Amino acid sequence: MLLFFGIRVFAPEALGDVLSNTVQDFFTLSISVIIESLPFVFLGILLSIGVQVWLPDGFLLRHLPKNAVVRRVTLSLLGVLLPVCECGNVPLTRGLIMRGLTVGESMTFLLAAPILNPVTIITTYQAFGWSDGILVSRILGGFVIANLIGWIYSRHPSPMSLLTPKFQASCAHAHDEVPATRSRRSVDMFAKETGAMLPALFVGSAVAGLIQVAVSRDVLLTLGQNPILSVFALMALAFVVAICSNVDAFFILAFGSTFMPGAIVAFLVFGPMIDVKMLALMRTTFTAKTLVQVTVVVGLASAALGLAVNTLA
Amino acid sequence: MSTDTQLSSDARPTDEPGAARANTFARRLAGSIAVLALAAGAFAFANITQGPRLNDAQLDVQRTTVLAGQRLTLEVNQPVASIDETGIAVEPAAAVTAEIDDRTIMLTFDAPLAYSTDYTVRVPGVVGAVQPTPSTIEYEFTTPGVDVYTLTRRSDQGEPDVVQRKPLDGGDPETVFEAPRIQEFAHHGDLVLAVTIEEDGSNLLFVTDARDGEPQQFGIPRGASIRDLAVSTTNQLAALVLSSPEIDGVREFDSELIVIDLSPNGGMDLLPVLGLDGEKSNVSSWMFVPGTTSLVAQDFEQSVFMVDVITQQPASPLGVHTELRGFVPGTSQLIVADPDRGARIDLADGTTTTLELASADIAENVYPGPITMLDRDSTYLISLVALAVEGDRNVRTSMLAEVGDEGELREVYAPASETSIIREYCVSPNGQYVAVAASAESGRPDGYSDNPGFTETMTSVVEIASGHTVLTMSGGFSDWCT
Repeated sequence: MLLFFGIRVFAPEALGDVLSNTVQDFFTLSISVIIESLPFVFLGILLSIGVQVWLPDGFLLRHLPKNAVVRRVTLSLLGVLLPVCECGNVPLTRGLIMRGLTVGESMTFLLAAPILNPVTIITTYQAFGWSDGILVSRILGGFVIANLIGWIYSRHPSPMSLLTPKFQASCAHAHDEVPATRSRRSVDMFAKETGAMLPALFVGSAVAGLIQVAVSRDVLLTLGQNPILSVFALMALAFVVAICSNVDAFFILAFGSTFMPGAIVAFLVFGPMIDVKMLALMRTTFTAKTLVQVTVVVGLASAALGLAVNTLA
Repeated sequence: MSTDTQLSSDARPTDEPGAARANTFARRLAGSIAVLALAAGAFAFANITQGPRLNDAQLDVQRTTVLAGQRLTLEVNQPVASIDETGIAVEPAAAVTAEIDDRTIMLTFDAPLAYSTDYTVRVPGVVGAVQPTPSTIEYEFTTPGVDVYTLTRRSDQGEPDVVQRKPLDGGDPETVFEAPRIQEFAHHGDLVLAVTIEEDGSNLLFVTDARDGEPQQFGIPRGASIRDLAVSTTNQLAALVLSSPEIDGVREFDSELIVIDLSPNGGMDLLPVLGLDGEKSNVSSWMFVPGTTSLVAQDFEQSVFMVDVITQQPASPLGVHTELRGFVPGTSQLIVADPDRGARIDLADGTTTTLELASADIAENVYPGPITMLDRDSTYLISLVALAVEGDRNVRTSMLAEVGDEGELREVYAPASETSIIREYCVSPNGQYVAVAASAESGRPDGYSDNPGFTETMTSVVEIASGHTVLTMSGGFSDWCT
């Protein structure tokens, strides 16, 4: 924030006139994604530190059910207690993996928590009420898809290979740390996580801004008239605009009269799980191959859900 | 650091070989992708093969029985390219015109609909803008019923006068207001306004909710007189003409048109209506314009004007006419009469057209009474009185008839007793029924100087199209006339 404030104060008055509209749009859109996400990223990092440093050893694992399915179901509902949007869940997920959760279980939490949390549910209700089953479809869709991903990856022969080598090293190093005070470890961890997350956030936001400038929204809106293409159009929009799940319902409400309800459901389910910024953040933790697989499954499931809603609602 | 016992059942080391576990994962991943792709494909196919579907519909059913031009908005789930306009069907029959706007099909009913009727609207051949499969959109709704209100005067029998109501589709009459002497009344929904006559001949104004029946008195000047009380059929507005006695040479109200806002926030205050000169208006007659917050009034110089009683914008002049006859049911087409002709003023666009009504084909001994326009064409109702000599006495019979485009006559109602006389008739706001007040030959004037009536009066409600009498109740003065 200080950086942006400094740029604004010291930039020449006429700088805005020099930049073309497209460049101005790019900066505006990119910075808006960063500003919207930043508080949640820091909140996620703080919660992650809380889980890793301040929770007693084994506390989380001791209190989770032992049955794998029930455990994933429980983890997918953990967002009710930790109402952080998707970008804040990445550092928290990293913390959960370091605390001993499996990759599949952590993925279940990562994908479900942005949707199955009270803030998201309330804002979606405020935007759409019970109309066209949008709220119910979002909640059930998010729950099922997150548990499906967890179920698939629970049988991976080498879960650690799903993680980037750098994060694997962090996990291994976490267990060999020299003793230090909790405060000291918290500060170190904050610096480390911030260093990992912020560059990814900036890159993801820049890509989101770039695509929004490059791809006309009119194209998406034209496609929105079609019961099939509208679903994919809004999934593409969700991927591009990379808006936080806590506010995305109000964003898409403006398109509510243009797009069909299934397309809106697909937007509200796919966006919190997979978008440009999230992929950039998740890339700090998971391999590209893993992310491709997850994106394909989540994308197909969201599309099927959206098309089902368009068929039945 | 976690222990094995804290791990989930999936994470604990098992005897399963790595290759088998890898196969399981691959099968789950590939199987999930295949199932999801199939599901997406199946639902996509289902979307292609089904036409547009109804998402939502909007219709103000309360207004459908009061006003023409009410709009049924059918919102479908995708943009509409075309509909089969010739195939649009409404059961029971009602004329509609259709328009398409993006995802919306708008059906406008050309005339008010019938009371207490289950309607089904079918729009066939609805084709979406992006795929060719046609579908039929169907919507059902029920119009509200209506109560008939009458005033029965019984003061000559030493009993209080009563305003009663009775549902048109059956039920017992219910007394909604009573007072020793009632001059006139009007109602809006369950709210009943009544003008009573005090012993000194002055009037009081009461309002009561027919559901709890606790009358409240309006604050009007002591000794005032009221006439021409009426209530809007569509808005919570009432109006009346108020005169107050002269005190010290000053008359506070002199045939002033006063409006009352009956809405919960209206305060029930008496608000003067301003005339053409921007001053309080003194009027000889007036009536609400259906479906609006405006009214038309005629001053004592016979100038007719229209004014919105809510906005109180400057009044619009409508010319000089001898008489205000009323509105074509459910429309804003005002019928006025002059000595040489009648005219229809369309208040929606200000146009005036001369009324060219076919003369009723009647015998020499039949005398025409008041007429009431029924629709936009030239169909009208007329009351007729026939005089005949039977032996040594004159026999008078009356009937109500509909006169068609060519002057053809169709009897709508004749009193059960040949000698009963039709005193007044009032067409319902939707033009479906007529309330006919008839009194027996032995009926005599009831002695009320303002708004006089006859004793032994009964009101029959008759369906105009069929001539079928659907309800009979005591009393007269149906407020359909106001």
